[in-house]
Formats: sequence, C-alpha cells, structure tokens
Amino acid sequence: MNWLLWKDYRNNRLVVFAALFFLLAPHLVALYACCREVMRGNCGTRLWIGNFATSSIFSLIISQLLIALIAGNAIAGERADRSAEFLASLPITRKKILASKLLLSLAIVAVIWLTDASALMWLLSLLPKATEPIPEMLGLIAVTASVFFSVGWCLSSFLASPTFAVAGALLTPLLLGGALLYGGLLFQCIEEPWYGDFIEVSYCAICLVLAPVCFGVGTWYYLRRVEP
Amino acid sequence: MSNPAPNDDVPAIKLYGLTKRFGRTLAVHNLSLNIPRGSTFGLLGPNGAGKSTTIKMLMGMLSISAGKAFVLGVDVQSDPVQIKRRVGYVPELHHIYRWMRVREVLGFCKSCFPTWNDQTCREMLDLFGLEPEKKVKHLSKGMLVKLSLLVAVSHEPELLLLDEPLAGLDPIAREEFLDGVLRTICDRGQTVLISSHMLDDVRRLADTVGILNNGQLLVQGNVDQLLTSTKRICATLRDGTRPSGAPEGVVWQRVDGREWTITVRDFSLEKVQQVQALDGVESVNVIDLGLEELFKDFIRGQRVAQ
Repeated sequence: MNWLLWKDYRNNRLVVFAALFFLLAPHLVALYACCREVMRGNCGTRLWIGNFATSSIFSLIISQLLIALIAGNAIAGERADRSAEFLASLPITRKKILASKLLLSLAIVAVIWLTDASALMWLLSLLPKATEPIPEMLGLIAVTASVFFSVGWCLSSFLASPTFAVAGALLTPLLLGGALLYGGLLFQCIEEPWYGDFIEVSYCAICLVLAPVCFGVGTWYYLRRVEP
Repeated sequence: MSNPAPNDDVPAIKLYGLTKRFGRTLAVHNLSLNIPRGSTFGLLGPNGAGKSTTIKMLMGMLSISAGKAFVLGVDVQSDPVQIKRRVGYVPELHHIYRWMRVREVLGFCKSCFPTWNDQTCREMLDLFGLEPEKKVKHLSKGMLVKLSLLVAVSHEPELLLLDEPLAGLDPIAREEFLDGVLRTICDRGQTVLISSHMLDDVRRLADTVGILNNGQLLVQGNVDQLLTSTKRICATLRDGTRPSGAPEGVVWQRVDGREWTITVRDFSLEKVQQVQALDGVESVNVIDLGLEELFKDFIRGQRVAQ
C-alpha cells in the first residue's frame, strides 16, 4: 500500500505542488499587503484579520478547481498514458488501487479545507461581530467541492481522458446553477423575494444527492470492470 | 499470502470455447486449448489473429464474452489476482511508469509479489546489463523488454506469458531476451506461452505450437510431429487443369502453370499414390515444410476457405 500511495503521489505530484501553491500564495500576498500597510503606519488588528480572511476565501475557492483536477485525473490519467495496463498486470486488487487513489485525493482535500476553512473561522471569531454570510458561503463552496470531486471521480472511472473528466466535473455545478436560474426565468419567479433562497437550498440539496450517487457509481463501476 | 502448491495433473492453461467480441467484431472465436505444465507453447498468427486478446483474457485483463479459461487450475474470471501472482507476463507494448527508475520499478513490483526472489532479480539485472538508476523513459526498446522480462520472472512464476516480446527488437537484443527466457525455462522448468511472428525464434523455444487466424485455432501440436505430418505434394500436370479428387486433409492448394501444389496434413504415402493416380497428373514429388511455410499454408488455406 505504501508503494501504491507513493506511486499515486508521484503521478499527481504536479497537482499536489499546485495545490500547495494555491494554498500558500494568497496568504503570502496578504502578508505582503499587511506589511506594506504597517510600514505606512496602519497596523490595526482588523486589517490583518480582513486581509487573511480574504486570502483564505480566495485560496479555498481556487483550491476547489484542483479538487476537480485530482479526482478527474485519478483513474483516467493512468488510462490515458496506458500505465493502467502495467498496473493491471500486477496482482493488486482493485480495492487497494482505489483506496490508494482515494486516500491521496482526500488527504489533499483535507489539507486544503483544514487550513483555509479553520483559519477563516478562527479569524472571524476574533472579530467582535461575526460576519453572517461567511459560514453560509463556506457551505456553498463545500457542496460545490463535493460535486467537483464526485463527478470528476465518476467520469474518471468511465473515461480514458482526464481532460473530459475534469471538464465534466467543473461544468456540472455551472450547469446545475444555470438550470435553476433558467427554471426561474421560465416560471417567471426569478424576481420573487423567496427565489434566491429557493435556488440556494435546491442547489445544495441536488449537490448533496448528486455527490454520493456519482461517487458510488464511479467506485462500483471501477471495481466491477475487468479492463484496466 | 503464499501460492498454492503446483499440481502437475492440472494443465497450465485450459480453455473451453473461449470467445471475445468487441461490438460486432469477433476477436477470438470458440477457442479450446490445453497446454500441459512444463511445456513451451508457441502461439502463431498474423496481425489481428487474436493472440494478444487471448493472452490478455488469460491474464484477467480483458473480459470474456463466452467460454471458460482456467490458468494453473484457477478460473480466470473468479480470481484474477491469484493468477497474476502466479503468472509472469511480458506484454507487446510496455507501459511501465516512465518517470520511475529501474530500481523503483523493481521495488514497486516486489511489493506486489509475495514470492519475489531478490537473487533471481539481481542475476537477471546483471545478465541484461540494466542500470538501476536509469529512468524508464531513457531506456531503449530492447532494454524495456528486458526490464519487462525481469519483472515477469523475478517472482518465480509457474507460467510465463510472452505476448509478441520480440517485435521491434534488433537481433542482439532478441538473442539476449531469448537467452533470458531459455535460462528461466531450463532453471525452473516453467511453462511458457509465447506469441510471435518470429517463427525461427518460436521454433527455438517452443515444443508445441498453435496457429491462430481470425480468432480461430487452425492447428495445434508438437512442432516436429506437425512438420512430419504436414507435407507439400507437388504434382506436374499434363495440361494445367486441376484434376478433381484431391486427397483428404488438404490445407491449401494452388495451380501455377502446370504445377499443382497441395499441402496436406496427416501425410502418408497413400496420399501421394492417390495424387499420382489422378487423371492428368504426370509426375509427383514430396517437399518437406519448414515452420514458416507450414504457418503460411495454414493461413492461406483458411483465407481461401473463407
């Protein structure tokens, strides 16, 4: 299992480095901005909290794209370069192969979320009055991320092209949001005061159903498939 | 987990009506085969005959459309992991991770095989002159094939499946590869199935061959027996018209001018006399076939029949 994990890490090394970059770069920019303000004589706590909260949100949003990339590349990537055939000739169970890929993907997701989301929540707790929309926005990002991951995973299990798998994963939440807005236009209720909440709740509900279904289907198909 | 003790009574490979369809294309059709343990079997066939498809099905890397395949007594569909643990496989195309170094490939594979033998691995590494620190992407085609063979034999498999391993190799690399295979066969008496176009090389290794065309097994048997029992009868005709009443067991026949060439299986003197007795035949002589001619005649015969 260690060798499998090492192999999956090496296969996804670029994505892992990109994830680290997008995790750290916004904070470094925030640090630079804060230092500049301090040198100008402005060194309020709110400035630091505000800058780092913004960088956490930005880092979190950007990192979700990488989650789609990791999931979409997980299985289809090895099919595309045909190294999956070499792997299939070795006596490794599908469960182990899948577990290794899942472990690596979830580890990256966990690092991103633990760093950004917990930093954000901690920073907000330092403010005298908590900002309401932030936790709500975190929820939306989380359900979108779950769709990115599960759709990418499912398409990766079926396809031999990681590009299509990643594109499918990225497009799904957009299509879903677009469909809900189109529904509002069609039924002429888009300007109703309740429709905003309705879209939000519907979007979250659909994502919460779609994510486990896609993940389950992708896993089931890969475990049953004989071909690499 | 250790491998089950080899049972000599159980054939290395046993196929019952093995069939593989890709959509409407029938790649392997009703293939039945029995390869006993300790033998070296050469699977011959032109491009697209179904050799690689058959081997991939045996390795559990391709689903089976119909029929049954047993490798070392294990049903391929029920336990492919056990088969992969006990079989060494050298594919036609090598897709080992290109970013890995040779030592990393060996370490990775070692972690998968409980029966991995470091000493065999070291010996073969020296024999093939592979540099452990070299990256796979920097290996030549010949070196890549040797690395594949090294991985395939280092876990001391009971059966070696070689799928067109010699394709694209220069004569020296081919010789070194064959030496490696022969060494394995001689040292451990392994069963080997080799598919190839290189009939001379197959002749050197295999004691039994099977000719596959369009997914169908045309003939199977001991090489020497096949060459003894299949002969070419060349008859000179009086007027170039082929007489009716060719002997039984015609594999392929052709009339070229006044020469009538018939390749027959189960050759006997009676068949020669039968041809000689035909109306319009002036004289008859018998030609021994090499493996290449035998292969070509069986393929041409089936093409004509179709």
